[in-house]
Amino acid sequence: MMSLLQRVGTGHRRPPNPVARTLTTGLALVSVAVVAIGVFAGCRPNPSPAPRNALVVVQTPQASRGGPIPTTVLDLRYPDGSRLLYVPAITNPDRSILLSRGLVAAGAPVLSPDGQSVAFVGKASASNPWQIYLTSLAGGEPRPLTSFPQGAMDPAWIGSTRVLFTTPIPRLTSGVATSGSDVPALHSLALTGGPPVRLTFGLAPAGDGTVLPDGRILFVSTVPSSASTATPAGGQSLFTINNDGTEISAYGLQHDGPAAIRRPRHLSDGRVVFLAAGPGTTVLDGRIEQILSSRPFRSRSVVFPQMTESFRSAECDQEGCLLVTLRSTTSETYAVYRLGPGATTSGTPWLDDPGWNEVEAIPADTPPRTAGRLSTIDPDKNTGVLLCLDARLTDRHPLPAHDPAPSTLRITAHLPGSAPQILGETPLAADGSFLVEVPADIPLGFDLLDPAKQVVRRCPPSVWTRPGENRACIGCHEPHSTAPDNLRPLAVKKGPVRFQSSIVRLTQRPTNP
Amino acid sequence: MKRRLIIALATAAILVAGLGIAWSRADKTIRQNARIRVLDVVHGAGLRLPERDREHMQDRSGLEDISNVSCRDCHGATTNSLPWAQPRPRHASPSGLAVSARGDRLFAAAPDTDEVIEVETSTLKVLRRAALPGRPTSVVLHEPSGSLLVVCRDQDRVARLDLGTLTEKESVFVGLGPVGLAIASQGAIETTRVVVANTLSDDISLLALQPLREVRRLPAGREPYGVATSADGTAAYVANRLAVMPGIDRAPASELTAIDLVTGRISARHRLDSAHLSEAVATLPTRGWILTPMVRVRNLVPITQVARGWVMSAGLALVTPDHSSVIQVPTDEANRYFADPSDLVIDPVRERAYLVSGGGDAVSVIDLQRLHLWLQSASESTLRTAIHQLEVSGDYVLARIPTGRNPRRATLSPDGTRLFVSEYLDNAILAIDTTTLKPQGRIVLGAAGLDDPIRRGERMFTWAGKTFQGQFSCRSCHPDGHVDGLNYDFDGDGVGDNLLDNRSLQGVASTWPFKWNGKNPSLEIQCGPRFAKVLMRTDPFEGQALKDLTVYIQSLPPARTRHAQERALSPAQERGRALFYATETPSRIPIPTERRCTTCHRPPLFTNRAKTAVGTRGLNDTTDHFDTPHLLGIAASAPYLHDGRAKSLEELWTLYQTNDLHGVSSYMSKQQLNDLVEFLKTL
Repeated sequence: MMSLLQRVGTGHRRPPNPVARTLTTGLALVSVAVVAIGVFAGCRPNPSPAPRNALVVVQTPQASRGGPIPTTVLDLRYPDGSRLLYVPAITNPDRSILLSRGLVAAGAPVLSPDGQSVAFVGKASASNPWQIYLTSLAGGEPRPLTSFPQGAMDPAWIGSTRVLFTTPIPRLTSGVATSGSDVPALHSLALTGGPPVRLTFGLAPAGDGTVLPDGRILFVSTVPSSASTATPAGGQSLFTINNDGTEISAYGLQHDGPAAIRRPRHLSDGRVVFLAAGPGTTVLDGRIEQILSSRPFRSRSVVFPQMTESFRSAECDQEGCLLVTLRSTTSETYAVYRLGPGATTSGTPWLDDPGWNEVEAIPADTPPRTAGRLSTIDPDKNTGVLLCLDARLTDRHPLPAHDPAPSTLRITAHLPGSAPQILGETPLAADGSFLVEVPADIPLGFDLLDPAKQVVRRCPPSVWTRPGENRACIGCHEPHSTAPDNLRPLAVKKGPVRFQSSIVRLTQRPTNP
Repeated sequence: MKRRLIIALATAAILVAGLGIAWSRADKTIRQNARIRVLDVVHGAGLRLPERDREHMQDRSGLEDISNVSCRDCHGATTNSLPWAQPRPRHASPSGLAVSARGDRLFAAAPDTDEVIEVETSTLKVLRRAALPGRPTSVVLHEPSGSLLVVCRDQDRVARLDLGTLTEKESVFVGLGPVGLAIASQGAIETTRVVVANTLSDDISLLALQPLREVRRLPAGREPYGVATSADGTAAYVANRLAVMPGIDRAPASELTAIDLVTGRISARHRLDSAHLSEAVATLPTRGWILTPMVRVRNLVPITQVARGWVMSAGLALVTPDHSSVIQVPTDEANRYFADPSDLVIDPVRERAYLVSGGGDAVSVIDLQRLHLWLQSASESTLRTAIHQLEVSGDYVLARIPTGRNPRRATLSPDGTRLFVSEYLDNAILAIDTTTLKPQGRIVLGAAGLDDPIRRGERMFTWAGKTFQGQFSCRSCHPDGHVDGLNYDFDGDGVGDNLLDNRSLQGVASTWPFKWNGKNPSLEIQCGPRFAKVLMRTDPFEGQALKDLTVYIQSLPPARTRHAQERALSPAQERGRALFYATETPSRIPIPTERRCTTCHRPPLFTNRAKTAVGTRGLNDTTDHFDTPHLLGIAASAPYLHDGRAKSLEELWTLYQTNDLHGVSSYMSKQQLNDLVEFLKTL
C-alpha cells in the first residue's frame, strides 16, 4: 500500500481537455469577478466550511530514521519526519494535503474558530527549537508565529485573533521533562503582532492549554508542596484562568493522588476528557479519563475501562463519538479510531496509513464557539488586591483545636529558584477575613499564625493576582465548587492592607523577534 | 415582446414597492427619533447660549455645569413624547397555562394581546381565541362551575369566563397588579376559595367563587407572585418575589406566606434567607413538602468575580413537613447555571419536579425521591450550607430539557405524561413527553415578532446566555425592568467601597446620565462594554443587540403604584405637593434655589440629570456627589439613596437628612413630612 501523500503524488494524470480548460478558466474569471465585487461592496466571501469527516492528522514515521537524541518532550512526541496532513474526506484520503511543508517535524494541530487555518508546533530543522506555526487548510507554506530560543508548544486559539501556547519547552533529563528556574508558562500572542503576553505565574510548569466554551483557559499544572515549594504536592491537575491570566482557580483532579495528565479537551456534552498515566512520567500514551464539568470534583472515571490499548489523543467528534488515536495491541502501530459511548474494543481503524503512525487527529469541522471576555487588568498598576472571606475556613486538614484562635496572616512571595520572601503580616478581622494589596504576577504563599506567631497552617504558593485584579477566595485551601455565604466581610470596611515589595515581577516578556 | 413588457413592469413594480417600504421604514424611524429627541433637543445647548440665558439656566437649575440641562426641562416639557408613552407592537406571548381535567384542552393567557387562547392538546391546534382586556396573565380552571378564572394584571381584577362560550361572566377587583392565582376546594362550592397574589400592593386576596367576590385581603411579603394550595383545600402558600433588606450590611430575606383558608388568616411566614425571585410555589402532598424556586443572592459579598455563583445561584427552598425549617438546595451546576427560575410544577405520582428557567431556556427535571434520599443522608451542617455546594445538584437533577426563548409558566397534563411550557418570547407553547423527556411539538400562537426592536431587546434583557456560564440575565436584578431592592458592592471602584442600591429601569428614558456616579451618558454606554466588564464577565452587548436592548429599556413605563392610580390628589397629597414646589417656608423664609425639591427633581421627569451633594456620603463612599434619580414610580422602588440605606421615603428625612442638604425639611412637622411623602408616592 502507498501512503496518503504518495498516492496523491503518483496518481495518474489525464490528458488536458481543451473544453474543460476553457470552462475552468471561465469559472475562475467569474469567481474572481464575484470576489472582487464582494470586496468592492465591503463584504467578504464566506469561507466554505470544511467537509464533514474531514480530519487533520499528525503522522510519525513507523521506521525510525535515527535522528538526533531527543532533548525536549516534543522530540519524543514528534520525531523528525513527523508531518501534518489535512484529510478533506476520510472516504477519499487520496486528496490529502501536506500542511507542514518545509518542516522536519510537526504536531499538536488546533483548528482556528473559522475552521480555515491550523496552528501547530513545528521545527524548521533538526537543530532549531520548536515553534508555533500557522497555515491554511488549503495548503501553502506554514508561517512561524513564534521564534523563542527555548521554543514554544501546545497551541490553542483564544477567539479568532490570539493564539495560546506554552514557553519554554521543558527539557528532557533522563527521559523525564524538567524545568529549571525558567518555568514553562502559558502565553498568548495576537495574530496581528505585538509582544507575547504571559498568563501564568505559578512555580510549577503550566501547559496543555485549551479554551473552554465559557472563555476560560483550562490547563495542566501542579500544586506546589506546602513544605517545600520546589516539589509538587501531588500529581498534575486541571486549573483555569481567564484569557488575561486573572482568576487562577482549581478546576478538577486536585485531590486524586499522583498522576500525569495531558491533552484535556472539553466535549460538547459537558465532559472533559484527558490522557492519564503514572506519576513522574512524560506522558506519551495513557488511558482516557473524564470528569463532568457539572461536578468536576465528584465524577472522575475511565472512559473505556475495558480497553487495554494505549491512547495518544482524544478529541470531540461532533456526532457524539470520540475521535482517538491509539496503539493497536496487535500491530503496535497507531491509527485513528472513532469510538462511541461504552466502546469495549477499538474495532476497525478509521484511518490507518501504512508506513505511518497516526498519533494525533482532530476533526476539521468548525469548532464550537467560545465566549470572549474583556480584560480587567489595569496596565498602570503593579499590584492586585486579594480578599479572603475567612482564612480559617478549609475543606482539608481541619485546624487543630487552638486556643486562642489563629489571628494573623503572613504572606510570602515566591520566585522560582530563590528563597521565599516575607511580604508582611496582617491581623485577621474578627470574622477571619483579610483584604490585602500585594505585588502582582508573583506566586503568593500564606501562613496562618497563632498569637505566638507559630504557623498553624500553610497554603502553598499557587495563586497570584494580575495588575489591578481584585481576587477573592472563600478560605485558605477553600472548598471547591462552593459559592460564598452572603456576608459582608469585615475586612472590606477598613480598606486593603498594602504590602510593598522590591520583587521584580515575572511579567518580563520573552523575546519573540 | 409582451412577456418582456410584463417582466419589465413587474420589475418596476417590485422596485417601487421596495422603495416605498424602505421610505416608510426610514420615515418611521425618523419620526420615532424625532419624538425621542423632543426632550433633549437643546440638551447641552446651554453651553452655546448667550451669557444672560446661561445665567438664567444656572440660576433656575442651581447648577454651575449646565451641560445636561435642557430648556425643555422647564418649558413645555411633557412625558407624553417619551418612548414608553408611545404605542408599541403587541405579541401573542403565552403566560399562565391550565389543562382541563380530561387533558384534552389547554388554556393559555396571552397578556400582551389581551387574549385567552384555547388549544386542543391532541392536535396541538388553536381552537379559540377570546378577547379579555387588562393583560390576562394567569388562568385556572374550575370545571364544576364551568369556569375559567383569569387574572387581569393591568386592570387589577379577576375575571370569570364561561368555559362553553369563553366569554366574561363576572369580574372582581383585587389588589394592585395581581399575578398568581390558585383555587382551593374543600368540596362545597361555598367554601371554595380563589387565592390571588397582588404583586404591586404586596397583599393577597381571598375570593369566594359564587358569586365572585373578595372576602379577605391579607398582607404578604414584598411582591407576592406565585400561589399554590394544599390538596385538601385548607391551606394556601404564596411565594414572594422580592426580599427585604434589614440594613445595608445585613442579609436580606424573603418570605413564603402560609394561609389557613379555614380561618382566612396567615398561619406562618417562612423566612427564606438571602433568597429572592421566588415566582412559584408547589406542594408534594406525599411528603408534606412545600417547595419554591428561588435565587440565592450574595449581594453582601464584593463582586470580585461571578464564577462559582459569587453573585447569585438558583435553587429550591423546601419547607419541611413539620414546618419547622426551610432547607435550600442548589439546582445549578458547578460550571453551568439555569437563571431566573420562573415556575415549578410537581408530579406527585412520579415524585418529580419540573423547574422552568426563564433566563436559561431550559426545564430542569428533578427527582424528588433522590432529593429525599440526599436530604436524609446529609448532616445538619451540610443542609445548612447545601445551597452553596454547586456539585450537589447532580445527585437529584435528572435532565435539562432545552426550550424556546424565555419559558415562563408550565403545567402538567392530569395523567402526568405531558408537560406544557409557555415560551413567552417565542410566542409558542412547547409540549414535552415526560417519559422520554423529549419535545413532542410546539403550539405556535403567532410570529415571534423579531421585526420589533422592543421584542428583540426584551429577548436580550431576559437571556442569561450573555453572562458568564449563563449565571444571570439583566432581569435577574431588574425583574420586569424594576428593582430587586438590594444593594451591591461592585469592585471596579474598590473592594468594599461605594455600595450601590439597584435602580429601577422603569421610566428611565431620557433620564441620563446613568449610574449613581453619573458616569454613563447614555444607555448604550451603560449596557455595553462597561457592563460586560463589571458584571457579565463575557462578551459585551454590541451593535444591533445593544441598540435593541436600550430600545426595550426605554420602552418600560414607570412603575404603576396605588397612589398614581388615583387621579385627583387627596388633601394630604395636595399639601405635600405645595411643600414639594415650595420656594419659601410657611413662615416666609426663602428656600435657597439649590435646596428646593424642584431644583434637582424638576418635573416632568423629576430629575435635573446632574450630580448633587445632598449630605449622604457614607463611610465607604469615595464621593459626596451622586446622580439625581428621577422620581417617577418612586413609591415602588424602595430602598432609597445611592446605597439603599433608607428603607422608606420617610427615612430620607427622619434618619438621613444632614443640615437640610437634601432639601430644606427642618421646618416640617411630622404631619408635613407625611404629606410630602404622600405626594411623592403619587409621582
